[in-house]
Amino acid sequence: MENGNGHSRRRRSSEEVRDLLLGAARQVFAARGYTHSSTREIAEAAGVSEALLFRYFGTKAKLFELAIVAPFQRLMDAHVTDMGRGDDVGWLYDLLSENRDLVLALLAAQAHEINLSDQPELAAALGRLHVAAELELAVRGLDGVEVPAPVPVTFAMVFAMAVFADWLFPPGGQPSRDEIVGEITHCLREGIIHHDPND
Amino acid sequence: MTPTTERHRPPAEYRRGSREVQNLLVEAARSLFAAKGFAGATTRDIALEAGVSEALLFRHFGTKAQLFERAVIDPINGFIRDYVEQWMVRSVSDDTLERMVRAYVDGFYGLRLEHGDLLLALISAQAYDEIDDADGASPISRLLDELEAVPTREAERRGLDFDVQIATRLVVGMVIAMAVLDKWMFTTGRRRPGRKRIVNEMVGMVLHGLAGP
Repeated sequence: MENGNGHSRRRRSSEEVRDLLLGAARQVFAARGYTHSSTREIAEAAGVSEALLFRYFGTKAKLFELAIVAPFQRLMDAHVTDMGRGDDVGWLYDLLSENRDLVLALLAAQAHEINLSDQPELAAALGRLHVAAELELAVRGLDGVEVPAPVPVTFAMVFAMAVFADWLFPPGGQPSRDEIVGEITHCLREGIIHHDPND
Repeated sequence: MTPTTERHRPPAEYRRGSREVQNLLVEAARSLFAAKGFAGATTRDIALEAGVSEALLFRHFGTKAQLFERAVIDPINGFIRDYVEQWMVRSVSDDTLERMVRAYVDGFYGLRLEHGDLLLALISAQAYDEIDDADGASPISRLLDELEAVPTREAERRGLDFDVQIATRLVVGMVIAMAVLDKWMFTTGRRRPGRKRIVNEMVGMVLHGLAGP
């Protein structure tokens, strides 16, 4: 995803510094959320000065947008073409589980930390993300079945399995990726309780 | 009860019992963990908020993880334990499957109203493996083992055939995710569906999937 390679000089190129900062920001934001991550901590984790961080990114909000929101947005865009090929659940599951850090950082920021009216850029970025997530799911169909209303519920189920299955299941008891995707797909078709409709 | 503010602190010369000190610490920890998460809330901040020394915090709770368990996990555990108990004494012989599933989902969704602020703290702490047992079991997974008693009993009574372990996790995962994603999914400018509508969607998912009845 990042393109900071190709420079073998000892002095770090600006791309390298940028990538170091973005990587550090991703880790720190994911562990501490937005408000409680300091630019100093991020700069330290990246091994560069805080002044340099501000020279490259201007504000903490901008750094958050570039480190967390934009990569997620790019991922969603890149995957749009894969949709509608019969494994939409697997697509969303992989997207969320492979980017758990980004997702958790976004969730923490969205949930309670950011005063969005003070952060118009961030608000706009999160808004785009939200709309993107909703559209992705709204257009997907399962065997031609349109899914307008229960989109949030579908998203929630896949989200739970991708982001916190490891602690919902007992140690060693977590089903494989394919089993999980299979169960969810089955559930979308018939419900979780595979019951006799005459019950 | 004397009129007093919630954040009232006793004068320094007043000697507080250890139960009182523990309560102060648990209260402070709960609000700070909910606001800042496990990693973000420091024991120093918690002690300061509680009006006691950090040394006292460690004397009472040993580690930050143990304090987290008492402040965040215990209330959620308590909710689930009560929930299981209510279900086990509930008479369901005249309930339809749909009514039963609705009550099950709606009851669990109540966790959001009672402890919604603690759920996210639990999720982020859990994601970074900071609070697992020695055997790697998360506090929640232990509880879900208990919760399985409910669908197991219903499956037997009604002759239903489904994988109880996975079904329990799918339903609980869905309900918890709906709770923590609330703001993300229903941003400003859109009408947020009410609890009844959200529960309806979840019940439909459990019973029929997306295809509808």
